[in-house]
Amino acid sequence: MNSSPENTGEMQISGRRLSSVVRSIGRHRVLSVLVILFFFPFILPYEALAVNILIYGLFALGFNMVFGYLGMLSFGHAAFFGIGSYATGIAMVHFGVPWLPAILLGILGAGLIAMIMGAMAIRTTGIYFAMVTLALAQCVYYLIYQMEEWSGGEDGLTGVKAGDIDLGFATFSLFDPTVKYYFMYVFVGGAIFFFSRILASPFGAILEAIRENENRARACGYNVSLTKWTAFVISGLFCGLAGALNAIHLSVVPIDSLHYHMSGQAVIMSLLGGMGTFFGPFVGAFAFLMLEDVITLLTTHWQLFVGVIFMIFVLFFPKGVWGSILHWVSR
Amino acid sequence: MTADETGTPEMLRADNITMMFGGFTALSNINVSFPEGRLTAIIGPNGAGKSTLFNLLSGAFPPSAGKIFFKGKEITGVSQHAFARMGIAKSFQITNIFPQITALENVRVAIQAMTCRFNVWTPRSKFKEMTDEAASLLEMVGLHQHHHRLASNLAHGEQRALEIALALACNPCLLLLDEPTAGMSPEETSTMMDLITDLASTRTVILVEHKMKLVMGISNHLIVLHHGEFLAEGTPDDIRSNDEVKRVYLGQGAH
Amino acid sequence: MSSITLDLFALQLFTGLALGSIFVLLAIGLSLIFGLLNVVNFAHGAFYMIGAYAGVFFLGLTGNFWVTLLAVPLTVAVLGLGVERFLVRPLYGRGIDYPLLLTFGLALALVEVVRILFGLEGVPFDTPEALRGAANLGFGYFPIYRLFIIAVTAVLVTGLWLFIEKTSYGLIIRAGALDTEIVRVLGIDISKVWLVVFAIGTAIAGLAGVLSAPMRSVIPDMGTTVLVEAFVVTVVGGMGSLVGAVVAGLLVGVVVSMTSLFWPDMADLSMFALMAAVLMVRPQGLFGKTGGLG
Repeated sequence: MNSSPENTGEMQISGRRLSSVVRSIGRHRVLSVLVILFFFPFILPYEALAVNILIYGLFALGFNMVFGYLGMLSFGHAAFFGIGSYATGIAMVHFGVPWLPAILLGILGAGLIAMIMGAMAIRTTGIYFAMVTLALAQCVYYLIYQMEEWSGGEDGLTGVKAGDIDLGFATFSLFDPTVKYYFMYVFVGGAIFFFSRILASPFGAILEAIRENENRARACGYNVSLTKWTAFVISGLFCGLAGALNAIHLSVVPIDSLHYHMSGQAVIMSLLGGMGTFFGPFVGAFAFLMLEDVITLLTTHWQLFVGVIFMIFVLFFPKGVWGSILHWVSR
Repeated sequence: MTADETGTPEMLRADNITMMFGGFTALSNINVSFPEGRLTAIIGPNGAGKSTLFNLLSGAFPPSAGKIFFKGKEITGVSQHAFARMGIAKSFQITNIFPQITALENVRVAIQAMTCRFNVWTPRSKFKEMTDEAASLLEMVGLHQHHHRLASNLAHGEQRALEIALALACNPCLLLLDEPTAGMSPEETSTMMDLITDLASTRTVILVEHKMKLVMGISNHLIVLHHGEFLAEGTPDDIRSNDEVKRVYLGQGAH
Repeated sequence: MSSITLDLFALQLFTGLALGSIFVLLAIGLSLIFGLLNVVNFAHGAFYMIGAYAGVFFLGLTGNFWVTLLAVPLTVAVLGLGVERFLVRPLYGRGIDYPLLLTFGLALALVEVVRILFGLEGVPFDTPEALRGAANLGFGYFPIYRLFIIAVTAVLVTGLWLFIEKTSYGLIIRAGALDTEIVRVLGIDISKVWLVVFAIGTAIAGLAGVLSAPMRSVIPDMGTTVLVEAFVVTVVGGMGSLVGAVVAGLLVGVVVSMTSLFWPDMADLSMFALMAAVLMVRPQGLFGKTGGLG
């Protein structure tokens, strides 16, 4: 690069300033995300998009534990998202369960499915895992599809209404998009905090060790299969929460929540944002949903763009948006 | 359980071990025992079955037939991850470290395996003892200047040293090393050999090597394998004067 | 009374074999690609779908089913060549997940391209005249076209087996599946082998697509469900095993067919139940091994 000394100096200084900003964001990662997400509704054109980014960001976050940190490609996470939605929805629609216990049921339901799927899938290794998880999740899809009286079958589950949130000292209506956003924000924020704690814990270190060298981790004394299963279940819990929130957000649970294309969305958003990074999932969800918003204004063939953009990232930007930024900054 | 006439307790024993891979017999009817405190080297020409025996003794997979005992208790078929917890550690022939993690963290996570496997809440930074212990292990293997370097960025010899540090993390009473000097320069080899001798003074060590000259110098005892069968065992002097061993190694480029 | 049930049973068995034949074709292609290239082709369903649409195109162009049957695998093979050479090959060094991810993105793009070219509605594909009607098998009348599918699959499997086991090129493929380095050291350009194998694998998927076209609706989404079925069969049979692909394909076909006779609601789920059982008992699949092709 033929630039004069002053120019290079300027570039260096602004580069250094940017990298120090990125570094301090990294150190206070939970706070950074919470602050940015707090002001989201004011930055984005409309609240529904903001809510979607929250929910899908959480979905990608949970998925990232298994994909980015543990290094296992699962194509079955739609099962957790979907069961989270259906469990919450069915509880509210068929059993009149209030929203808070319903959300808990969604989380637990997803966790249960993750335990069963995990027990069957963890015994497989490598790329096999992707196939098995996809097939197992699709099995869940067919099961729910068949249970028409409970799930609504092909039409999905309708009538999931949280109504008003009565906190005793004040009542909020979820019909107000801003209220709905901050309602979701509380849950997602909490989840982000827990996720961060897990990553910073001894368990978090084991995940990365397994990703780096499974055999070595085993030789050091770690029960790798059990650890993988545990991470899978924890991941399922986070994705289940995302699904539960989605049911309340949409007031319906579409059957496609369980389809492997939903699993694919988690994969795409994680890779787009940056696998194995803390901010990656939300950056990925943001990028994906914004792109979808913009492109669907121009054409109905959004899926073509998704496919091509994803292939471009796989080929040329595997670190994703945030991952590439981090990589550039650390140079 | 005593291993020999001197009454030394037996650390590890393999009874009638046979290992078959498909139709191929890698080891047949191996009976070996390793008393406590001894540095034993398993040697033999290429294809003798040394690596297979190493893998069996270190828990990588169970034997097709036969039993393995550790301190008198049978451990045949016990899963790999239980070995470190029993106090048996190994290093691999092909460097097996955690590449995209710093050297310090490599050792720290190995130390963590002994105490904290499912803690999902407490921040790691609270466990200062582990980091301190990791630092002292790195110092022992000569890597104290490389704490914060990514393991993949270390030189080959440094990675082999890190390999040893990882094995030491579980405070093992039995250490199994598979060709620890593989790919090392003469100076690195000599440093490694000093380290191993040092370690052998406080632990039982089993070494697999194909460089005869190296092991002759530091071992107390040698076991020679040939074509998957037991050939001979004894002190370095015994083996040096063993005609059969000499015949087997003749033309193999013994050095 | 019992003879009627037995006849029905036998008929349903044959239906299962016909269904299973399609599964066999899909699983063989997948296993072939995985065995040599270590790539799980998530676009396999898309190639199947493209085979069906290529069939529609060639049938419309030539009016001749037999020419179509030849042209489709060739066309899909060409597409497969391009995909391997330009999209998948750059990813080989990178890590086992990347080719898989790429093929996933490819599948999304291919489906949408077909939607753009052919629209969202299904396209008709008539059973060829010569193969219409039913044959009396002794225990009942069975569609000739389905017998044809079983026959084509049998011929293809035999031909493929002969190719892989008996020819020197097949030997190279088998060796390459076990150890890429050795093949390279022997001076053989392994990248050409990859090309060929990927092309063959996708071509067989395309063939399965055009064979299915008279029986299923030809819609852009037809590959989406089929991919899952192909995966289930592969998990049951064992990845990378051609014997496993054949046995598992037929087994799954028969299981699904039989279940739809006795317990119709559970027909879709029966293959998953089989897969779950195999996973619990033998996670590597009935014929699976850790390496090689066979």
